[in-house]
Amino acid sequence: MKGMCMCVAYPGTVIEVKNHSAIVDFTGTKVEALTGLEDVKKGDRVLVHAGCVIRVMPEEEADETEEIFRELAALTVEDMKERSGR
Amino acid sequence: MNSFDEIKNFLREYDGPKVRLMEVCGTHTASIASNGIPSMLSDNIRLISGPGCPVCVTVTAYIDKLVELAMNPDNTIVSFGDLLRVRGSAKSLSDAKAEGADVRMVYSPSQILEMAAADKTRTYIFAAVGFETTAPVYALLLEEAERRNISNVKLLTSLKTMPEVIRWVIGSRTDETPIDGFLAPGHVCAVMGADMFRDIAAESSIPFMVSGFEGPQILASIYELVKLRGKGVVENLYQTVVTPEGNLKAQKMMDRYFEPCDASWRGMGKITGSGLILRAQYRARDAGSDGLDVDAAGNGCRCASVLTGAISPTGCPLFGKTCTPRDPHGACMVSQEGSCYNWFISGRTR
Repeated sequence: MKGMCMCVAYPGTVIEVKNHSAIVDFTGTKVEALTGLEDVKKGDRVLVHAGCVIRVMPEEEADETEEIFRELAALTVEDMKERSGR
Repeated sequence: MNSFDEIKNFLREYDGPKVRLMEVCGTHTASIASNGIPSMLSDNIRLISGPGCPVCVTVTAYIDKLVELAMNPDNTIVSFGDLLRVRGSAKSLSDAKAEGADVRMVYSPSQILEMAAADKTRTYIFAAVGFETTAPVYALLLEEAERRNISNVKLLTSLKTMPEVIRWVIGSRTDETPIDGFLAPGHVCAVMGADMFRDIAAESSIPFMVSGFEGPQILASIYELVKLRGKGVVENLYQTVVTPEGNLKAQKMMDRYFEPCDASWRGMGKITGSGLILRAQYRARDAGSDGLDVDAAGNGCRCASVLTGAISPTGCPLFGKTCTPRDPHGACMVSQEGSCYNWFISGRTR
């Protein structure tokens, strides 16, 4: 795992909740993360930055990227060109 | 043809008005390089890196102070990593370590608590650099230290916040170096909320896209920014992580321990209200962060112009010659989020 960077955060799954921390599983690598910035429970998908949980992600984690593509595709390429000022 | 192919085709074939987009965050810079995104764009779409690598924007006075503290045999300096190799006016923390200073690298603030609890004879000083993503983590560290009555932990802070430096960057544009859109820093927004950029977008008529860090997410955001050129709006394509209001608990924690201050940025000088410093009631935890403004980086390094998008890394005469990741002159070549580092390792030329 890299050191601290501005925005580097990794998604993982909470497998054990302790008093002020949680064990988070990153596809096999287990790391203890502080939980004072979010309330977590076992099974939560979380985003960990610099050893702390900074976000609990929604349970129904949709494939957001696919959804974005579908939405963008609603506009045709020609329409895009027109909007871009051509 | 699926929708992603359409996006890629559009970005490759685009021959509308030239657009120049800034990715604010160093993690976006790294992802853009590793995914080869510049080669997927038309010549009329240019990406420039902004001031979003915390190591890169740290002034030499801060590094010098860390080195001074490290050379005190009663202190241990603890850092997250990249910072160790950044030179101050004379030395880096790595140099100090080579001379016998106790400098340690950690991945989590909880590690400094364990170290300090185990050895009360030393003072453990965390090199607390970062933006709004990381400031709540330092606040939590202090709260844990208070709760566990660990008094020998201090911070040397160089904490920066986004809104005022973005205004500074916008104010520094020229006709030759315009900015037509911003890829907003996704995890700063996870903490502060996508709404943090609404006022700036409206007052500047520049669009902001809150983006994830995967290649396709970034391409989708670039596509949207091209479409939204000239419109002062904020859109969020990273909704599984970023909400309009952000993580309120983290914001409250940050506000409890820190207050806004003027902050000095490498190459940009002091920017009003662009930093955070410990509140008066917690100053006993501060290792001397106030007044670290001198920025003495010299030797021909042009990190300052790179950080504001005025030149590309290849525009610096040292790039790839006397300045490489193995022997970096400037902070932008040290950090894995730095634009020079990423241009160098990916062979990027535009």
